[in-house]
Amino acid sequence: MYFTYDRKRWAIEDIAKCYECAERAGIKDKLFVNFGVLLGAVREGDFIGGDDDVDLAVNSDDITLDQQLAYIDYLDKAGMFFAREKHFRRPDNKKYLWFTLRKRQGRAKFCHWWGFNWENFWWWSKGSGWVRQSKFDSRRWEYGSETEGIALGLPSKLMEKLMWIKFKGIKMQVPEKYGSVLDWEYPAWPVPQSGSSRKQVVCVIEKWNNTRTWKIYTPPVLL
Amino acid sequence: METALSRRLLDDITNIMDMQESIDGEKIWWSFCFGNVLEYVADKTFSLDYDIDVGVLYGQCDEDRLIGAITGHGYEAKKRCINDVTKKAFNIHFRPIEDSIKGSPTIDVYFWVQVGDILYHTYDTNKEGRKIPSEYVFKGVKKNWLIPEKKVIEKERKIGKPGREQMFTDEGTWKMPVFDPSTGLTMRIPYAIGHLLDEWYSPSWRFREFYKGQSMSRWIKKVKSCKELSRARI
Repeated sequence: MYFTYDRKRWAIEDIAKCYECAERAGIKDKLFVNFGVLLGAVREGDFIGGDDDVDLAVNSDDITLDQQLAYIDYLDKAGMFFAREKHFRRPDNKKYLWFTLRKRQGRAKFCHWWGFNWENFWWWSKGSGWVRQSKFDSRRWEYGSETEGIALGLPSKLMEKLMWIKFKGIKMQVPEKYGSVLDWEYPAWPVPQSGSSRKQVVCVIEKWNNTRTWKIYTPPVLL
Repeated sequence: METALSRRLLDDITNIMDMQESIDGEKIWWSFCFGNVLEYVADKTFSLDYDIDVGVLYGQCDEDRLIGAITGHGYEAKKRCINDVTKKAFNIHFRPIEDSIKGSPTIDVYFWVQVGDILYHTYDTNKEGRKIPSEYVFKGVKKNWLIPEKKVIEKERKIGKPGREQMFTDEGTWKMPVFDPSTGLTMRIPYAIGHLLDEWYSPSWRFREFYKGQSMSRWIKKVKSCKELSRARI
């Protein structure tokens, strides 16, 4: 069980700290929880047993690079150090798309996802960090070693609005369409199952600076 | 609250609905809807605290056979919102009359009507005491939230994840475990549960007060006569 009593307590403390830093950087109303924490909050009102990190997200289209850098700076000052070796910056606009905070003894891992909108989808990416067979089957999504990034998509309309909720004594945000987001990420989500979020819509990005090289793979029928 | 009676009711309704057939002798699509789905997701239970809502497809199953099956379990039936063209009901309301189930929830069977890619339901809104209302008020959801396309069903099967595969039905609903696993009882839940709850009870359904009001929808259709639904498959 990754989320022990102490780790949950500290995770809550750290989420609250992230919101404080986000407020200082002027992006508090953009920050929300996603993936396993969202699933846990909706399904159980708690962290879920099978999860092993805390995923926070922001729409990077709505913020400036300066705000993003200020947020990282405030995190550092709050003792939540940015892990320099674990991040990805979009080569074209230099914004971070993903980073983690440095591991701290006994505390939960923290990942930050900075999504962006394109072609009616909202995309998450670890950039070239996801260009690997173990994560994305190259027979299903065609890519090669030169591919610069792979991104995971959600319909943008599901991410248009956020709402504040109370979670274990703190306030945090979730997408207002949290049920729909969970249908996309974790089908049959009311019942606990093993495994990571579903790869329903995927974008293979050959060159970040040329959207004509980006290829979206969608299932035959979207919800 | 979960009781022996709530378990029995769930088992009975599931058996009755599973036994229903289409005109071609095929299994029908059916699912619990509205408050029962909300209660399942919020509390993982099926209690006697809320009325029971079951959805079927308009015209897919034999109305009289369904009525016979449910009334045979101690209920009386009342057809509501009769289609003024076909004289078939859009909603059948079942009230418990037998002593052993008296005081237990009523059952509403909704007949979802497809118009384009939207499925609509209606009950007694604006009927003003009449079986045939002066105005029908339909509320809709996207069809593939309730009934996924064949391609989606095939894909869901292909994924074949052990837990999910066992829960997925041929008709594209989930059979989700409820109560203690030793009971073996499951609840029939629609495919896109989250989309439906977001539509029916948004945005409060999980994090704010427990929602007790009517379901909502952004697809509302009001007609004086079902003739106006001429393009619907009814």
